[in-house]
Order: sequence, then structure tokens, then C-alpha cells
Amino acid sequence: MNIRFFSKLLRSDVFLDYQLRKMAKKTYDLLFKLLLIGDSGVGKTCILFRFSDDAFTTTFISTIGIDFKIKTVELRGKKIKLQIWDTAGQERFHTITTSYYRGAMGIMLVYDITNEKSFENIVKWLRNIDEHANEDVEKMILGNKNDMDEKRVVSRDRGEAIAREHGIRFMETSAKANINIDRAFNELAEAILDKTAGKDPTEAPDRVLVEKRVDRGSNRCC
Amino acid sequence: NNNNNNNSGSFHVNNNDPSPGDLALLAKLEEANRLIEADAKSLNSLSGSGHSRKSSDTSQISLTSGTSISQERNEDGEEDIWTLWGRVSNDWDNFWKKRNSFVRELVRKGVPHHFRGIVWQLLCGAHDSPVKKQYADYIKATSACEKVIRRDIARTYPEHDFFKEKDGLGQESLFNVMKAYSLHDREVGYCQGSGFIVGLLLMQMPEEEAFAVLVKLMQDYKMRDMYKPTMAELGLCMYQLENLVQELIPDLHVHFQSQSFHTSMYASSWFLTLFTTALPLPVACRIMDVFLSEGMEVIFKVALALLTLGKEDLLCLDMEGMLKVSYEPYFFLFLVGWN
Repeated sequence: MNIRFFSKLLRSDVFLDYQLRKMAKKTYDLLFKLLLIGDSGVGKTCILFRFSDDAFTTTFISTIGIDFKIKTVELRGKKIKLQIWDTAGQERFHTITTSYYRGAMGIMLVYDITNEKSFENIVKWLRNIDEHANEDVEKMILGNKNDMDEKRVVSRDRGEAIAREHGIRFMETSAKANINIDRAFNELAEAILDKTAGKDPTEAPDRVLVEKRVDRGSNRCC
Repeated sequence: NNNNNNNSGSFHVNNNDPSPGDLALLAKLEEANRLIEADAKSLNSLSGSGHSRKSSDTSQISLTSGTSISQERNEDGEEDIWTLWGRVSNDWDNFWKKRNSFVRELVRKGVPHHFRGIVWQLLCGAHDSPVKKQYADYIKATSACEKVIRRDIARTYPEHDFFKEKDGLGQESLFNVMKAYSLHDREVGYCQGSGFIVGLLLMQMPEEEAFAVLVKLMQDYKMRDMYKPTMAELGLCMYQLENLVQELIPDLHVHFQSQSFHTSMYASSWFLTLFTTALPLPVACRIMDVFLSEGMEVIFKVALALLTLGKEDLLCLDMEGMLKVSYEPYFFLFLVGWN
């Protein structure tokens, strides 16, 4: 067997993860399900990869259907596992991707600041959320590729305006230059945490999957 | 064979001789196939109306290299397979009419790489297709889908030598064929996923021929129904696969249900890209051989074979674990015992 091939396998996340998974037990307090939507090619997969693996690569294949990544973050002393779903951007994949809206607690709407159409379509993506997601889902609009200022066609003001109009958080990001990626996910996660912290977690079992082992009496509202 | 990394091919994939690893995988697939064929009756009901060429189904798909056509073989088996394929492809119409089941059997045993380009065209009837004449005109015309197609070009086989060079020959021919098809079939236009199939064709044959095969795949092999804006055929295939899993691998089905691991999570790309994004390219080529000969049913068989092989591993994983392995092209190496 080819050495290069084998070493590639050994280095692969899947292999390591698989090995770890054999031993690993649940190590988080809360599980938040997030979803990335937006036109094809705006950089959803790259944003996710930057967040989960802190790296950027141009060798991704287009997302066919649905993909996902996991990252655990710590917020206010709680370990929060983010299960982040990545979707195909092409419109005809909606039948597949909209079924993931329902379970999402937070949704990132991504456009590309160098692509006018992807910005205009944010309204369409918002409509999709209204139709398919939970009413109280946390939303955030991301204008990605803001390292490419020379090719910019959507001003920051327009991004902020549409976010304000719909009462949604907004950020410009760059997966390539690592601008605001961590911040975006952390803010979205915090917003969800704010919402869930006050509630009894067991009240919304289909949206807030809480470790059963978490002691009810413990400092939920820390 | 120190060239079994499927990213290292040159213009024509120069690694189509399966590596020992691929062979082990193929052998495993073959074994699983036997199990599934034992229950072939339930699968036979799936055979597509769109593709009428039906094989006898008495034989197994041999996924290892074709060396067992006994009556044509002497000491130098490899040479004889080539001679045989030479005769078959030179006298195709005759062989196809008079010795159809023999040819199908031969395809199941493996089309040698050298012959793939021509045999794929022959199998789907693209070799004398009149659409080839339209190709030059399509190339000159402008398509409404150009922008979306362009966006995916660099994201199709981005690590393959032939396609990785920006605006290189590979990317340009990929674009041309996709654009030509979007003009040829305005209803489908362009659908993500189809580029991987076109890429696989372009590894075997020039643009115009690849275009003609693509048109056949779309029209006669249900792929255009898969890619239509409603994607209704994809939904149907998901439903059928789910029911087959329930029927043939019931404990896995129960596990999937309990983990909320939906068929569309792992199988969408299997159908949309005919395994080119899920399996090493030499294996994907072998699947394409049989797909062109027998149609969509083959994709179900491979899917069920993979799930059968992976069953024990999959049963130990939660939804996240299953998702991870099903997106990793080399996941299937786990199935051949290297984990």
C-alpha cells in the first residue's frame, strides 16, 4: 500500500475523530444546532472550515446537499457544542435543505460582498426562514469576502441597513483573512444561550437538546 | 503501484489500475453484492422504465479487474482481455445484438482503462449520436447559466491534476460541456453535482464525446429527472433506498431511525454524482462501467453493498459519526479493515 496514501489517511480528521469517538463520552453541557444558508459560492463552507479547523483552503468541492461540522466553545462557563449544518446554495436543493431549518436554533445568512445578486437574495433566504424555521430562531447576516475590498459591490451600509430593517445581527467577515469568523459564531451562540438560559431546558426538547445529566438545580443562569 | 492516490492523475487518469487498497475495497464490495443479489428480487422491481436494457441478473458484478472470461483466455490473461475488448469494440453492433448478455457480463468484469473512452460511448449509444453536431454551436452561444457554472468549475475535482489549474485545459473543457448542456436542456439548465460526472467523462474522452454521453445519461438514465428543479426523482430514489435498507438491512434501518440519520444526509450525493464524490476515482469508474450497462439499479446495489459492508461500524456510531464517515471519500477504507 502506498505510503503517501496511508499517511494521508492517518492524518485525516475522520480517522482521528473515529479513534477519539471510540473513547469519548459526551463532554458538553448544551448542544446548539446552527445552519448556514445563502447563495452558491458565497463561502459558507469556507466560513465553517475557518471556524471549525482554523484554516482556509480553495480546494473544497461544491457542497452537494448537506454537510456539517462540530465545534465546542465555552461560553459563561458552559461547554457548548455547536453542530453546524452547511447547505448547498443552489435553489433547487431547497427541498433537501429546508428540512434542516426546523431543527436549527441559529441561522447564518451569508452573502458575498463582491456579488450583488447574493445580497439581493438575502430577502429570499429570510422568507425561507419565515416559512420553514422556528419562529424564535436566532438569525445573523454575514457579508463574506470582505478581504476583497477592490471587488466590493455591496457596501457595508447596505448590509447594515437590511439587517436593521429585519432586526437581525450583522457582521462583515472574511474566511480567508480570518476576520470576524469566531466572533460571529460566538455572538450567535451567546444569543441562543441568552434565550435558553432563562428557560427550563426540558420545556423545549425538540429545540434545545440538553444533557440529561445536567443537574436541574445547578447554576443554570450563571 | 505507487500511484494510487486518485489526485495524481494526468490528463487521462493514469492510475486506473486499481491499487491493492482499491482491490481490497472492490473485493469487499463484490462480496457484499453477492449478499444483496441473494435478495435481488426486491431490487428487480426497481429496474428503471427509462432504461430498458436488462441483464439476466444471474451473475454478480465482478468489481475486480476483468480476468476471468475463461473461454478467451490463455496464459497471458491480461493480453487476452485487451484482444477481446478490441474485437468487441470494433464490431460493437454485432456483439451488442447477438451476444448481448456476454458483453454485459464482460462489462461487469471490468472495462480496461484503455477502452473506457470508447466503450462508455458505445454502451449508452452516444457514439453515433447526432447531438455531437450541435456541440460546436452550443460552445459559441451564450448560456444564462454561465455564471453559476463558472462558480463551480474550480470546485470540481479541485485536487485532480487535470482540473486543478485555474483556467487550464481541464477547467475550460468542463465549463464548455456544462454550458453546452445547459443550452441543450433549458429545463434542467445547470445542477450542482453534474460537473463531477462530466469531469469523470472528460478523464476518458474529448469534449464533444463527453457531451454526447452526458446527453444520453440525462435522457436515458434518469439523470435529468434527478437534476430537474424539483429534484423529484432524487426524492423518489431516497424513498426507495430507505425502504430497501429497511427491508434488507433492518437493524441498520432501526439504528438510522433512532439517530435521526436520514437517507438524504448520506445518499443525496451518491445519486447526484454517481459516487464520484464518495469513492476513489478508480472505483467510481468501475461503477460507471456497470451503470452505463445496467442503469440506475446499479447505484442502489452499490449503496446497499456499502451499507452492508459498513454495517458493524455504522452501528457503533452516533449520527455525527455516521455523517462524518459518509462524507469522507476514504471512509470506505475503514470498511476494508484498516481502522
